[in-house]
Amino acid sequence: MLTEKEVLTTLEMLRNEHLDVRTVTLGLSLFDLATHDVGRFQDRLLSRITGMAASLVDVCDEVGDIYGIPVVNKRISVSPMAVVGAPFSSRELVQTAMTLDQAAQEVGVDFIGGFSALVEKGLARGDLSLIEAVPEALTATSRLCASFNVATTAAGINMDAVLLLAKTIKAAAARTADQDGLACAKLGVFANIPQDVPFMAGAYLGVGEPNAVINVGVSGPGVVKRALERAMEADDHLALDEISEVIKRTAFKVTRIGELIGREVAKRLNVPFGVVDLSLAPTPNVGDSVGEIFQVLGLAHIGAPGSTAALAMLNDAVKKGGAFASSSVGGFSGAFIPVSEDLNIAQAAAEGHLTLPKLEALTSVCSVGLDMVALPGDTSAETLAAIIADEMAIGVINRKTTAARLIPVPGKKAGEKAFFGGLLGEAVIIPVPGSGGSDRFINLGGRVPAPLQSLGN
Amino acid sequence: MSNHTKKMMIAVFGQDRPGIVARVSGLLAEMGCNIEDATQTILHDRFAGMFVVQPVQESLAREQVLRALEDGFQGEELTFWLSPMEEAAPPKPAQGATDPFVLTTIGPDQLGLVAGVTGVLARFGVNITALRANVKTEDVSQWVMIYEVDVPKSVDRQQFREALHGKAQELDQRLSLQHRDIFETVHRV
Repeated sequence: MLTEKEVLTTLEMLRNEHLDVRTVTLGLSLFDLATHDVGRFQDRLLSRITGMAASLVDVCDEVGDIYGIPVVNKRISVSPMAVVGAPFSSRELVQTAMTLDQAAQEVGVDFIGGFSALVEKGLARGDLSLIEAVPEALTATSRLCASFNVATTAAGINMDAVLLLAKTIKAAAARTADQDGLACAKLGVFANIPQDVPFMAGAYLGVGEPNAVINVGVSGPGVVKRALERAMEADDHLALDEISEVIKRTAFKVTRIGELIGREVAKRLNVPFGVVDLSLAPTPNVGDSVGEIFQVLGLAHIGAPGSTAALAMLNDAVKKGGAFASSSVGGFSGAFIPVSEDLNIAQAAAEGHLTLPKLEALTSVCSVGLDMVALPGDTSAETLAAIIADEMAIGVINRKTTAARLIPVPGKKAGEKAFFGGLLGEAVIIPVPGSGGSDRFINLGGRVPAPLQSLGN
Repeated sequence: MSNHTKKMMIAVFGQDRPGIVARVSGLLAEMGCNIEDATQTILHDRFAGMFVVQPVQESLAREQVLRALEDGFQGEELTFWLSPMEEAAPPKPAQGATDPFVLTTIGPDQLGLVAGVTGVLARFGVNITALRANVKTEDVSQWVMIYEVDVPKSVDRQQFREALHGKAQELDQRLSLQHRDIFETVHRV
């Protein structure tokens, strides 16, 4: 027999704390579809995705219904298109992008990721074609996401790719100027990208992954926030180690839910289960914010001195709880701090409490990085590249994933507002201190060598 | 132990206080009644306990057992009820495969709440395996009822859910129906 507490706390997590399974992502390998004939490739692509993912949305809805936990987003990730479509020209790759978008639409998923290239050590012909195709591909489609790994701890940072992608981001922003550069919200630049990420825009199916796999992304900033509030109301002398314990236990519960639902969806689709990505991923809703957790912890706002320490503790506690809950924890698994997607973070940035340098500092201890950061439209490609390079360096040296999802909003200046809509939210454009001062350094190009793996400090 | 000796079910009700179970079980032991199963709960400060016992002696009559218990608690306002149990329980109505779900309602207390919800359950052939009413929450105006139920796999879950939500709306309750696994997964290592 269940105890009353077991039933009531689970209901509370669902009803008032925004607990959901944020995303179920079906990973599909496309390597066996490779051909030099683009028309044939498009046909195969469409039939593979619409065949394998035909019941994905229905199954997710049914499983969500049985357990009373909504699966909010259903998504697909595919093998990196720069590899599968290496023989194609950029024009042909734009066509395949549109096929991917069409397939996503036909099966009813909201995003499809994998318009991706892994270029940490160099740019092959397929990679160059794909990057060239990105601005048009992301403008002509609505559900496609692109990601690029430009750095790893083993290879260093490919600075040529960084600059090329900065220019690509500028071009993508220009093409979607009427939507505040929306295309850039679907493009992430990564260091040490994991192969099994279910969250967009970073999701793609890695080369070492099986033919098909279900990865699950669970989120729970609201649940963590409420658990902390309850614990601190009950005992106002709670110390940080005790607070960390509360976060750990909450992360455990959330991860267990993700794994249960992921395994059930995988079973019904007859596909292996991959990982649970336990990331505190906010939405632009009150009560579902990572920024609010900082306030519960006693900081006036995210960005105030102490924020980096608080985030480090939060991130670590989340990982500890998740690691105990499941042996299949993967992806990013930490806290996201996407500026526009989190009402509280967006507000702190708008009020000037959260600056670009502070955001960068925060990313050294959290999951992803400079995420959904709206920048002035006249930020040069070199400055964008320099910001990306800084972020990549944090990931490479600290042997962790970092990313940049930057949006130079065309025609707008710092202090003005950018609107992306839906989950992507809105944000005030923040200034870039020292903008324009990195041109010479960035134009040196080449590769930042891989860091020494011993003498760690 | 003779196969002919009938098992008995004994129910005990009365004002709760320390020592009831100890004395009941002591009296049963004195009479040579082996307790095979037991459960107890407290409802509004009232004790309610049930014991399934197997007398060792064939000759022990149930009137004897009942009298011994009543004499043991004379003047203490405790009520006993005793019923013989058939050796072979009557077969349960065929129900086929089921899935365990947990149904909760939260809302203001009112007449016919349990009857309304359980009426829907009965209509769909859903068996209740555990029920708790008036679970305490922070908000005293809200009554929480928790039903653990076995839902036949053959039930059209969509229709079942719609019927339940319709009834919940009538009764001004927020209702949720979730597979039991989710509660165990979250709370039990």
